[in-house]
Amino acid sequence: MTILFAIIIICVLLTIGVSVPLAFGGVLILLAYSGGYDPSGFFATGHWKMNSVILLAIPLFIMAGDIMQRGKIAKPIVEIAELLFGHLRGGLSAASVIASGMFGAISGSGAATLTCIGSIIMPHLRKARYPDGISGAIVISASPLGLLIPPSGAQLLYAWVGQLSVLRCFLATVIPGVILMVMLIIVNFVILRKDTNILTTKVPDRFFRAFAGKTAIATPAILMPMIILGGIYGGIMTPTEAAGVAVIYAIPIGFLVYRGLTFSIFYESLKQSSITIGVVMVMIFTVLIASRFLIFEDIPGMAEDLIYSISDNPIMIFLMLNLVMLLIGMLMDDISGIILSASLLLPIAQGAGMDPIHFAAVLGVNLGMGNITPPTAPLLYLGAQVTGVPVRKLIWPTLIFIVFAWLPTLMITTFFPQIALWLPNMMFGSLQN
Amino acid sequence: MLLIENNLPLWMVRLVRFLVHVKSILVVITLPILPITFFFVVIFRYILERDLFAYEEWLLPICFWIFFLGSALGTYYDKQINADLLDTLTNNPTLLWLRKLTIQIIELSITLILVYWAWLMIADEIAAYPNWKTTIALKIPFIYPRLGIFIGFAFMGFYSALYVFLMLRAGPHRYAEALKSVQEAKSSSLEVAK
Repeated sequence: MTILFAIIIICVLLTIGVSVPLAFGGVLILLAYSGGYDPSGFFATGHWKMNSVILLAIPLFIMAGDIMQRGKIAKPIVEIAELLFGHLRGGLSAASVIASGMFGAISGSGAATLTCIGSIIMPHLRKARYPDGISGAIVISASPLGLLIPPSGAQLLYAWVGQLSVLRCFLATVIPGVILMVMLIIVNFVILRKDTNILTTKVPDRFFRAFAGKTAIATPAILMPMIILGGIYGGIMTPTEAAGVAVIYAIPIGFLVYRGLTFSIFYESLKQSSITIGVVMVMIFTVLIASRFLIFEDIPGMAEDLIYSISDNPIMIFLMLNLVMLLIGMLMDDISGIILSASLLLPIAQGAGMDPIHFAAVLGVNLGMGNITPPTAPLLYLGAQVTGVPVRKLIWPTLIFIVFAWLPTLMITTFFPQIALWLPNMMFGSLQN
Repeated sequence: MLLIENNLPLWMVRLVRFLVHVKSILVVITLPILPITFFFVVIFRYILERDLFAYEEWLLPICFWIFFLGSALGTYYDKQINADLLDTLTNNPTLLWLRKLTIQIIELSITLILVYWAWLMIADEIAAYPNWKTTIALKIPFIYPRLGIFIGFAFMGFYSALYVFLMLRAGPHRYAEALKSVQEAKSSSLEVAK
């Protein structure tokens, strides 16, 4: 009964708009007064759980993302993508998908990707007479690529909660991320193929020269993910250290190379980063405590019983898990969704025969999709602000991208484990061996 | 903070702004410690071939203060993560005000209970003196990061209470006007960014 009330409380509080940490605070209050737990131990538990150096990668990624966003590091990346695809009808919006994937590899955050790429490419899309709703929707639909293309703060958190290899989890989402990019581009071209209003750019006479020039300008930005990923995969740095080095690298690049940073902008970046970090980390704090006590109440066991009472067919179980994760993604942000899903659903997925690294990819795609699916859809609402397109104009085109690009990617990732496992197994060998 | 102008006595406005300013300065000064530390961890390991001894024991307490003061600032600036769906469904100022007020009251009630629990944790620590739980190498008492948790939640409670007071005092129409001016400021700052 306590569990049922906990689920009702969390759904109601989140739907009416109570902030995520306090919605989980509400669950803790319920657990304290009906579950018989001593509340004086709740926060000490939270302190113990969060007293971890690995978790510090998340604030560092947030900081790096904010500095890069203000340092105008995304501009040369957008220009390269525009040069490659701008001459095709629908090419400019396809370029935003490519740029989001590339910037995702730098920032590791969906929100930073959306703010950077969206604010730069939207004026170009308007100038080329792309329809507002579709332009905004493609930028928004591509922004969760920041969660899938490594490094990703969300995958790091999943690996930490599930006690798994961070490197394997990072690699598990690469191919699903690439598949998603391809799907989004295809759907984009199909939607825009008959729109004769769209203006296209000319291919420069000396294409390779122009390409080489733009690539040279973008090189310091492109080096960033190489430093981070090379450092991590080369065994030189831990993910947290790599995130710290990324911040230190981004500062002179933002100040001296792309000149987006001034001292006042840098101060503002630190201030805004600290607010985002505080909001995210306190959310992690309350979600960690709540998920721990929900595990004590045997939510995973009950959910398993419920799922197996409907069907014991693994395909049906995976579909039901996807549905639950999608609902979690629709109700809360990716970070709290990751903690909750990793704590509560991973045992069920493993019970049904899913590899935990495979689950990382399925979870990443689900929560990315949840982030752009109402009611919570933080990236959809942020996207409306960034692109200046009203939410009502964005919802339908976004749903088209969800149904024809995100859902197929999710199904492929769920039912073809090799899509997620091939790269980690190739790099580090199969765990079964 | 929305509605703070003209709805509070001047001394109170100044006090609130001063507290926010102090917190902002504190987090801005301390936040760079994080990347600098990890940068030096790498430098120490590969260039000086040494370990930065037990750095996590002093770094993590600082981080807890940053997290919880940052979250308090998040409450002040209304930046906690939540669903804004209902706001997009209506333009009726009374409904918007009522919805926000209800949320603020719920959030205040929850936060006050969390503040009390945080206090229970601190009280346990104080009662344990001089046998405080400490870190292994540097013997830093756990009460330091935990105090950050308590103070962070206390400020979140204070700002939530302030919001409830301001919402009640302003009423639906002044709230709608303030909201409109914030949205206009937001879109013009995005235009500038573009």
